[in-house]
Amino acid sequence: MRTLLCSVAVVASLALVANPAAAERRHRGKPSAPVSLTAKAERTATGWRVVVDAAPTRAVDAVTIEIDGQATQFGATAARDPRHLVAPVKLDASAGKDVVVTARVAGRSQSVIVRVGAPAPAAKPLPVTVRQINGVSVAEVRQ
Amino acid sequence: MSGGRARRLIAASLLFGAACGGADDPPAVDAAIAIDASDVAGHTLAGLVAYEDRRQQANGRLATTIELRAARAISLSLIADADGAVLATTTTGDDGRYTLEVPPGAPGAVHLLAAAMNASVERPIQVVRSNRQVHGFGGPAFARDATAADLLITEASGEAEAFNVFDMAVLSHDAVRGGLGITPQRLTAVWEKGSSDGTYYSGDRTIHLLGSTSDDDGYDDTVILHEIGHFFEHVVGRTDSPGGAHDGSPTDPNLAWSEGFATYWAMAVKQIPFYGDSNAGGGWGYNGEVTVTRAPQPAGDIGQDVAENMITEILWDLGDAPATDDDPLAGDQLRVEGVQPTYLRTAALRAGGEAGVDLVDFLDGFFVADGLPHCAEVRQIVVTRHTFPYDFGGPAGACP
Repeated sequence: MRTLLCSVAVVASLALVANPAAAERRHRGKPSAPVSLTAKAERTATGWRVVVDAAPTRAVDAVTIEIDGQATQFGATAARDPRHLVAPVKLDASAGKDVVVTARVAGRSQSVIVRVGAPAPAAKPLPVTVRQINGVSVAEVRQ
Repeated sequence: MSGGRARRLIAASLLFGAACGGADDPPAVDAAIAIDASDVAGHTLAGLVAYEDRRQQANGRLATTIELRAARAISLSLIADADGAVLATTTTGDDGRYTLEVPPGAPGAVHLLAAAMNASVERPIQVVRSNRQVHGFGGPAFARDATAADLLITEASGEAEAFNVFDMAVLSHDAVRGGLGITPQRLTAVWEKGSSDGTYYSGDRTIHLLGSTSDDDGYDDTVILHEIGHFFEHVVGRTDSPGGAHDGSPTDPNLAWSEGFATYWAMAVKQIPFYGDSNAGGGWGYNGEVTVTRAPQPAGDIGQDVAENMITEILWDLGDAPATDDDPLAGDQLRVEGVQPTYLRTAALRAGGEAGVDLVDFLDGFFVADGLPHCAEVRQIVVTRHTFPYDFGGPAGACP
């Protein structure tokens, strides 16, 4: 009996490890846009381009994709039918740029940022001093 | 030894040392208090603490201009720059003002440290980094003998949003305590600039908020309060939500109820029927008063899948009052909020529809609390306007 219980526990543990989404399902997230949005940067013969796919999770009247502030509107779109958009990005040879990609669907929106060209310089974090205030660790940032 | 005698002995020792001590003399035994004529006397330091905020716009975008808001109910400490000693700690008032009793001591530079935490029974809140250290902001140095000093928690420091998150928690806790007469429970909010951990309530009295470049929720008051709404239903009411994604489509009634209530909580606490969520592309906004989301099957079952927005809109209409109203019920948000602790928390839910808490159970509880004098108005909101086929068959009895 004990062996059986142990086996069940091991299997359950492995299932949780293998499927982190099981734990995630218990989370109560914020309202999201009904769209699956992916974007990537690709090098071309003359420079760079951003490739976007936006697939609504349900049938919608319209899908709008914005790349770097330029909006393109698509009409009625079936569920899981991706709208594909490619936009060239002009950059100097050694330059880099964060490009904002946004999908607007059914009154909601989702954004991702694609890095194009040279990597972004590493942001220097502000120094932090940890102090104990009434027994609580407080991370102080001074300016 | 009496306090007076101790003071006299200390004074005598100091006088003796000053008059008779030589450079080669050994240090006095038990000379715990090193005070000399140049020490700063004990005094009161007062001032104002504020943080930089960006207001949500109707389209979900954040304002391009910064506004200053009082940093209320936060912990504020005076720190000695020389050795980092904590000289005094207090809590700011609701207007952001404070007074600190500065102890006597050596002159030198000091500074104020604001911490996004409060350990009181009324407002037990912490806003922490991913490593669980509380967010703190230290101001510029000033002389220890100063009697006035203000502190501005700047956006440039990356800390202003943490104090906005804290302020939303204060707003919600005050609604729970002042409106419903319930002592708030301890709430922890995890937010950090750059965090891509997600925005969610994790079920352990902790909310998590995005801080990423593409989607930062630190200034999104309604997103923060939506997650606190999940905390509220967890610790004060009841939820049977399976969790998971929700994008406005008709979905599981338990999930739709929980998410719709959480958005309603944000609106009720802010007292405006608006939900907004900014992102790198601008964002999106939603008005729960003017939008009408209907049940997909007006002649269907009461356990049908519905959209979270329909829940939010029904709750808002049941709670709002004539001044800005577009429905026939002169509502009271406290009456709507109160169904969570007074009914859903403890009641045995009736069979029918979906098992677990959903809109049907809320409406049952609403009638239990409110009686049956507003059946016609509720019918107009729920059945006529939102086409949800509620059966008016709860434990309060049948509507006439």
